[in-house]
Amino acid sequence: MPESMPPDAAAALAYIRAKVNELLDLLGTAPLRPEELDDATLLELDPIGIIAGSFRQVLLHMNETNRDLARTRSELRAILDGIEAAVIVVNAEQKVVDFNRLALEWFFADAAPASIQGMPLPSLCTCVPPPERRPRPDGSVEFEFTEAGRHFHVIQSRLSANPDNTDLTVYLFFDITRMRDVEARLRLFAQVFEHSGEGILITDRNNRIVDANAAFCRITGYGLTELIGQNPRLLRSGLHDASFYQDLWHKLQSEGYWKGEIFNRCRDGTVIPLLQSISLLRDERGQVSHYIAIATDISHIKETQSRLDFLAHHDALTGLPNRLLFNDRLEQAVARAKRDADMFALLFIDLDRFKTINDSLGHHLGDLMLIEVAHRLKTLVRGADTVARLGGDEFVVLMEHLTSHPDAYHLAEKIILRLRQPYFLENYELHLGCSIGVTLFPEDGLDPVALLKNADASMYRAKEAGRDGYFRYRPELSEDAEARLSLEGALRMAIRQEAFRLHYQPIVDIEQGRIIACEALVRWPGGPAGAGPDRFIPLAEETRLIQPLGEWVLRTALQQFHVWRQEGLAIDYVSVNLSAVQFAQNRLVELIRFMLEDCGVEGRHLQIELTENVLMQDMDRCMLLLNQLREQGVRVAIDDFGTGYSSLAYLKALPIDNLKIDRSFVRDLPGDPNDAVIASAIIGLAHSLGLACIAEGVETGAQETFLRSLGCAYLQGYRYARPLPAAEFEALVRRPPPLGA
Amino acid sequence: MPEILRLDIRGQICPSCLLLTLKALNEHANRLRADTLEVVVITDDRQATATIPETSAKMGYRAEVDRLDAAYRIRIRIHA
Repeated sequence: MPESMPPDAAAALAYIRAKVNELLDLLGTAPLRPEELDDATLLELDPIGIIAGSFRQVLLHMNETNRDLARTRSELRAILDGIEAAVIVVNAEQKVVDFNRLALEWFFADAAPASIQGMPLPSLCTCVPPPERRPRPDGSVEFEFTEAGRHFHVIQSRLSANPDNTDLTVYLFFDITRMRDVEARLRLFAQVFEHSGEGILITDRNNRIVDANAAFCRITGYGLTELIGQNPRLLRSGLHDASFYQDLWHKLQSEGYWKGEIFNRCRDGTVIPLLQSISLLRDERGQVSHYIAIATDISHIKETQSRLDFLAHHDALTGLPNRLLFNDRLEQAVARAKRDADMFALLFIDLDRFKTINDSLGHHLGDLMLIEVAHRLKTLVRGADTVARLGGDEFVVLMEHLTSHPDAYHLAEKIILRLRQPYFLENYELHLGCSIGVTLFPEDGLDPVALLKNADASMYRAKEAGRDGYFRYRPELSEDAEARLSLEGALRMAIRQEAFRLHYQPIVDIEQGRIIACEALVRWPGGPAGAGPDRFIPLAEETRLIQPLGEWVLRTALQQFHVWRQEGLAIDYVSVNLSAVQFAQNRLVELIRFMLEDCGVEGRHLQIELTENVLMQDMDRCMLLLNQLREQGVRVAIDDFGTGYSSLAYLKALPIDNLKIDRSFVRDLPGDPNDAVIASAIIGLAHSLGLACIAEGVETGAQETFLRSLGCAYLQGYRYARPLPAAEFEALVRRPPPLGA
Repeated sequence: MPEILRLDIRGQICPSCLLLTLKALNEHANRLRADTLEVVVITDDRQATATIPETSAKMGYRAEVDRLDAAYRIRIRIHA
């Protein structure tokens, strides 16, 4: 019995029974029944000790349970913080009760968690479900919202796990920004796919079409539904052989990419050229998943290409091969002839007087004429021969597989005859000749350059020989042609640099004993050796360089004359030579009028000298031009008179002022009776036509006396002065030596 | 498998049954909690089949009750 037991044992036992019963009640069982448990047994059994021991175990168990709970709670927290979603729990007043790591980061700017607790959620973020959003059967609401450029998918649900916390609401936020971005990109790609100007075709690993864009359907003419499931073989044109497709597949499999031009057949059967690239796509396991073909319709490029190709190799006007293509053919002909020990001929054709026609009647008519010439040439040659236009009025015929030289000469003759036939173009009847240079392979050159150069030189010889004929190449021609070319280059340069000078030769009136005028003569001080006026002026005429040169001469002479007049030098006019080319110029009269005005010189102070041949070319035009010049007061002289074939009647009708007797008739005067008769006849003719007469090339007193006796008072020649620089001429006029001395 | 301590308290009624069982559970608390011992109570008091499992559970034990011929077997082990 315990020592602390109260003295009243019965009361103590009753107390123990009451406390034991109280404890038993706490344990959930019935109270002690005294009839079962007498006092002695009660004390022996020690129910309080037993119950105390049990309570110790209850406490132990509770501690363990609490520890487990704490661990579970921290595990749940870790899970909550670990999930890729923000979680916010609010109470009925929308105040924040709990939230996880991402909620803190995304919405609460990593603030101190304690400062968030109890804050109303609407004051922290705008994640309020749209009012029209209806809750799902379980009471949850899903919606999306955007904050600071991020898109969120939100699930808002009542927390129903614990019946005591039904007022709690949980918000789950999933960041769907990347998904939205990916969706936007996908939408963009879809748009690119659909609106691309290039056709796009996608097939699966078995090469079945799974998709095609609008451009591909447009290019091929197939509808999308007709293509889906088909093999692209459907589009094969049949123009490529099996090896083409083998190569394509080989390259595709080995390099993953193929690009090239391919002909496909459209739905309507037409074949179109495509520039196509095919790429192979692989899945994550490296297996082929798709093929993507991108096709550009290059029909128009192809057309342009072949058109350009044609243009590059043909003359646009006549449709004949041009120089480029001709050079090709010539090279081939040389190679072939070398290999087969064959021979061939080259005919270099230049039209005579074509420039005159072009200039006087206009380019339009000139072009028509070139077309007609091309046509005539084509009808004369065999199919295997090449007719080409090298430019301007130059044509060339390549005659292959020649059996004998005369065949080439025979063709040249036929061409000359045929081109000589009249041309009826726009109410004009026109006549034309041609000069042909002929070279033969292998005798006249072993390479294209030599053959063509020699043919060109031969053509010039044909022209020199009087035109309208052909000339077979001879070696000495080459040297002439080269010298001519080099002189032409120098001449061109000299014109650009105005390297020429004018000299003035006096024309004297022997009766008055004074210098009345001068003839302006062009000199080339720094010119190549041997390039006197008799050499470079004909070349300038041939190359049409006479046009700029002649303008320079006219302007310089007029300017000089103006200076002299200003300085009181008393001469009547300056005489300037005009070449056939200049005379054929369309705006000659306007040019002269303009220059007179520009230089401040009256028309009566200018004389132009023309040769008889110029005047005989186109009489109607001549008459018109000379009359127009006469209206300006400009004097007209016929130069080198007596050497041409002037019709007297015509001369009479023309508005002419002076005849200039050619120096060849003066040179042997008075000893040569023939020349004396001619000189006398010319002077007589001039007088009868009411014209003045000027004798050129007067060198001796006897010539002067004789001419004077015939009534020719105007004389020009070394007897009075050679052509002089302006200053010397001026000095001569001011202080003339006694004439006739 | 834990050792088994058999506690035959047939003829006893509650609360003695419970007290006798609790006494055993207290005496062998260490081994029971280490799960090296299972206490098997044989009783014919029906009320004990409710009070013993309930009280055991509060102490952290799991009790399974089987019906035997004219008695009940209550197997008590630490809650796994």
